[in-house]
Amino acid sequence: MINDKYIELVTAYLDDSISPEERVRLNELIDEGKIDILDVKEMENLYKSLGKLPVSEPSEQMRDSFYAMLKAEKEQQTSMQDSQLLDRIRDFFIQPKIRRFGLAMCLFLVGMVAGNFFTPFQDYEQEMDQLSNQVMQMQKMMALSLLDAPSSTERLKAVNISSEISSADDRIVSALLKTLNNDPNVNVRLASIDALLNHAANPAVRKGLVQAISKQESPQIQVALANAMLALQETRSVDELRRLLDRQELDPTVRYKLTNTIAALKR
Amino acid sequence: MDSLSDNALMLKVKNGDLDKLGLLFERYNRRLYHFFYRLNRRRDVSEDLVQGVFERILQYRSSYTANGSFSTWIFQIARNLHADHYRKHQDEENLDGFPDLDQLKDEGPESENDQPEKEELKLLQLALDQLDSTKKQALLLSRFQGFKYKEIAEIMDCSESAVKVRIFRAIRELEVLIKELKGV
Repeated sequence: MINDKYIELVTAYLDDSISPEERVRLNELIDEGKIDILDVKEMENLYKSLGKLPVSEPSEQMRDSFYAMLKAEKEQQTSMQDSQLLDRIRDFFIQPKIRRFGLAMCLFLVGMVAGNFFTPFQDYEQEMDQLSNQVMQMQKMMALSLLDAPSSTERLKAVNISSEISSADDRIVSALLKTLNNDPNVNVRLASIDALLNHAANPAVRKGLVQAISKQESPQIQVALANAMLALQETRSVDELRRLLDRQELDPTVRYKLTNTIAALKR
Repeated sequence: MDSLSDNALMLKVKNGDLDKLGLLFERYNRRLYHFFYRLNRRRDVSEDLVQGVFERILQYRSSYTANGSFSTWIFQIARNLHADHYRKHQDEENLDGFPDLDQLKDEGPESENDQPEKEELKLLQLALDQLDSTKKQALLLSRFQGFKYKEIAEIMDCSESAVKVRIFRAIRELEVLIKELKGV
């Protein structure tokens, strides 16, 4: 019977993992009679005999079951991946910041679509023209309404607004000429001359200015109109200027100015 | 790491490439089946246990770390699964009890000259079936599965010396049991 203290050596010998040094040691122990070689051989034979024990083989059923399980697991994995993706998307949009940002983006896009629907981008310039026209119309409306205001400041403002209008229509010209001829405030009347000069290309303006010369009583207005006629080189005004010159009460400075103007226009 | 090594395949399975488990099944199903069959001598149970091993691999694939050998890992699972099965069914059947001798006859050598050897093997199988499960597992893993003592120690969660002792004593017990069965 082999002593337990030689287990390491014997088991190494049995599974053939014994090192050369251990083999020498084992042989020494056998030679010394401490290990019976018959016991070792008996153990070795029995260990080897185990390999001859018959064993059955697995059935095809086992393989089929495995692959069926694998297929089921793969299908489950696919559905889980899909649901995980949906969960991640849902979790992403559940975050308050993302939700707010998403809402803002939606509103922005709705605005873009609606804006494009009502005012297509290609009509932008046309829209700008329309808007510009609308602003001009508003300016005209404002000028016309303010020219009738009781306050001279308001009327002065109206005259200034009308001078900014690029294309004054007959109503504006008529209103400015009315102001020039009738407004009680000299400053307003002076401003109306400047405003009318901005629209001097309009024949009605030039005619109105000429006709206004003889109607003026203020020396400042008379001089301003004489300057205007000179600036416009309006020869048709000579008769009106002479009519004014015939007045006995005319300021000497104005008389001098009118004489020079007539002479300049006739040159 | 070799892309077709057991560890590499298992890491692919862990990362979602479940088809690679088929390759591992082809490599290990017979070894596992033989291990279970020699333990319990039941084909149906052994096949179920092999299936169970691969189910557990799928179940716990995320915890696989590839530290160490895949073969020791899969046999650790196999051993644990067998223990669980034994605990659940110990009242219903004696898994380590006497085997069916007729079945042994079917599986044994065929020729008349082999009759003495056949008788010897029958006795050896009877003796093996009477070993306690721990010793029998150590012996099976060493003799049939080709594991080194160190690997068996890893599978059985014990020291290498303990494995050697179990195998040494298992063989000694087998000798005694065979003599008893022979009526010597």
